[in-house]
Amino acid sequence: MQPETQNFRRAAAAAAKDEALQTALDGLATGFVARRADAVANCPEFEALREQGRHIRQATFQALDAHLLAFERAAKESGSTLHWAETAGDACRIIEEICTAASAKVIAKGKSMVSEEVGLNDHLHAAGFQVFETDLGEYLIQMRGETPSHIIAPAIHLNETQARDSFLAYHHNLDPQRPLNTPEDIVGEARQVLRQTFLTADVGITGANFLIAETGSAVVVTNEGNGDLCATLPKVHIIIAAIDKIVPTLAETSVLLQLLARSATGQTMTAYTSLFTGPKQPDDLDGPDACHIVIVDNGRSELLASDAREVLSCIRCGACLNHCPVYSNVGGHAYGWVYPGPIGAALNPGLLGIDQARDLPLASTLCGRCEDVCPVKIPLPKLLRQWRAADFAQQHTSLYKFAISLWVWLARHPNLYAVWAKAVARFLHRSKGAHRALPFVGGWTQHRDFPSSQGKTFQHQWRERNRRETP
Amino acid sequence: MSRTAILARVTAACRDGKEHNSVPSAPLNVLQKTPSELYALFVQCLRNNGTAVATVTDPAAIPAQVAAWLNQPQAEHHSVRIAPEPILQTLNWQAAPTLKPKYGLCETGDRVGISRAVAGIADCGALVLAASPEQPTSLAFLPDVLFLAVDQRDIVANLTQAMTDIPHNTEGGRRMPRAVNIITSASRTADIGGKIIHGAHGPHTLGVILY
Repeated sequence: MQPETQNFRRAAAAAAKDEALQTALDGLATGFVARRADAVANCPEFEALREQGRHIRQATFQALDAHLLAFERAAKESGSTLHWAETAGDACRIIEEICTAASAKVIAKGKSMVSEEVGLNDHLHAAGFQVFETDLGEYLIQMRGETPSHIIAPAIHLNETQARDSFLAYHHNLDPQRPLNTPEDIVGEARQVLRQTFLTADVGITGANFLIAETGSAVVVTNEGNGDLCATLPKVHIIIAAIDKIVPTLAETSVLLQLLARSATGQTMTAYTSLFTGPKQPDDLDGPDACHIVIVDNGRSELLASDAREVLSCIRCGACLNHCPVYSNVGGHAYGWVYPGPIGAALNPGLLGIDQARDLPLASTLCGRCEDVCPVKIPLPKLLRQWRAADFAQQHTSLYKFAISLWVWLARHPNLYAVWAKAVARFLHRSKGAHRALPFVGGWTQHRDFPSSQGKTFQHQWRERNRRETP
Repeated sequence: MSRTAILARVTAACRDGKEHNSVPSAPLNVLQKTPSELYALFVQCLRNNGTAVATVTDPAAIPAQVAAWLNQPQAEHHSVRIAPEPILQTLNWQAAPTLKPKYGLCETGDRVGISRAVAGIADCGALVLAASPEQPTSLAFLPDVLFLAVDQRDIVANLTQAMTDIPHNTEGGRRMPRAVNIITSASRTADIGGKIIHGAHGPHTLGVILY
């Protein structure tokens, strides 16, 4: 997926005026947010689980090389073939080669964020394969040529009418008079059409929520069951997952799974949590003949070495998006790349470079709700501040940098600061009313008046008060 | 080579000598419950998840229970696809006259699937299926209606216990099953306008029979 992260300001402004999008986003508070709150309230050990989750992720990264090697050993023992992809291009090329070797035509695909990151679908289409997304939300946006706008609900920006119109336009070979009046009808049609895809697909591609080093398994979590069909019916199963998905043991994976669904949808567990370990075993009645696991780096090993390492702890639940005042107002597409919301603002500069994603860490009020709801306690506001500092350090000549430097200098000279503050307080003083317009703060006064100052600084008033009260 | 390069960078990054808040993983909680408490919690959680539940005193009553469910609202003949595993296969399905049993892999048009879970998870109302020559995975996903039988003695307290039990659930050192499916409800989606609809790709109805 081509990053459009540099267009954030323009895209966010347009999103704020998009009525259909705003209506869709209004549902976040009553949907995901309320359901998560209920799930947490019904789980007395949730805080203890969060603390365990944080420890598990941090401890894993301290010996990630050993865990990757253990995973490789266990996965090979169970008959999987491992591939290592340094870059997005490598991942696409490896998967294309596997599909070519399997003489594939039709590919059924489960939801995978890293596949969006590396641009897998476009690459496979260009190479002549027919790739069908099978998660209903992903299928819908694939029809429309769009990208996901939420980590777990990729079509959250679309309403039922838009979904119906897309089905009518995309399934043009079906009877145009067929009943498609309810969400049940739409889901029923998708089930029927995609069932054929599952039955005819030569290759199934899924992501992995976790890779378990102890057993060489990939964990795939869904509510629809599409991941299970992708992993079971086609003769080749390809798993694409990034290096940060490693969890050492089954027991530790169980802790993260207890956090994931509660944080994401407010379910105790999703409908399907599946562990896939290698291809079909000798006497099994079904399952793929071959299982390939493509382990993707694509910039993560550099992030691991940086002071933004904690961003890799993310288990992709989407809770930080749902609770973010910025995401709730602009939606996911404004962020311009695969990962939106606070986690995107903290991760994208690391994967794309801060110069490519400068505005994302700024698109935050630093209110801290994201950190409060993060199931593995990623300090997102701290990471956003770090990216702001990194961006600031990169800018050598801008007026912004000059203004901030001047402010810093002034703040370090209290006497001069007092003189300056006094002058500003006087300048802003009016006997009544407010300022309708002021220099340098047009963004503020365009929408509301700026309150008038009392004419004296706080320090000045404090001194006066002390003088009055001292006999 | 990509593998060497990635591992070298990861090694350099995680062995950088810096302390990254090294805290060992805390011990995992295990619920201490009696078998009858586990049973009660399991049934309650299954019902909370919208799963139909029935308890029979003898596995021999499973066919009658399946027929009773399928015959609502009216008695009809149903072809049922049954996992070719010893307990289910030896039941007298002919005793339920409306059922027409077939064993083995699912075929197009099979509407009802019946399989056996290797474990039930009490605190989340989930069932654990393990792929084997007797348990085809697709049987749990292709039919419209899925019935799962589970032995009351196989109810475990929580997910951690269920997951750590997995490799030992299979006989005599057999390796990890190809697929382990932990199922908590019928297939569902909320991708069309935010409304929860059952039967997205997998079964729209799930029934559990405890024996």
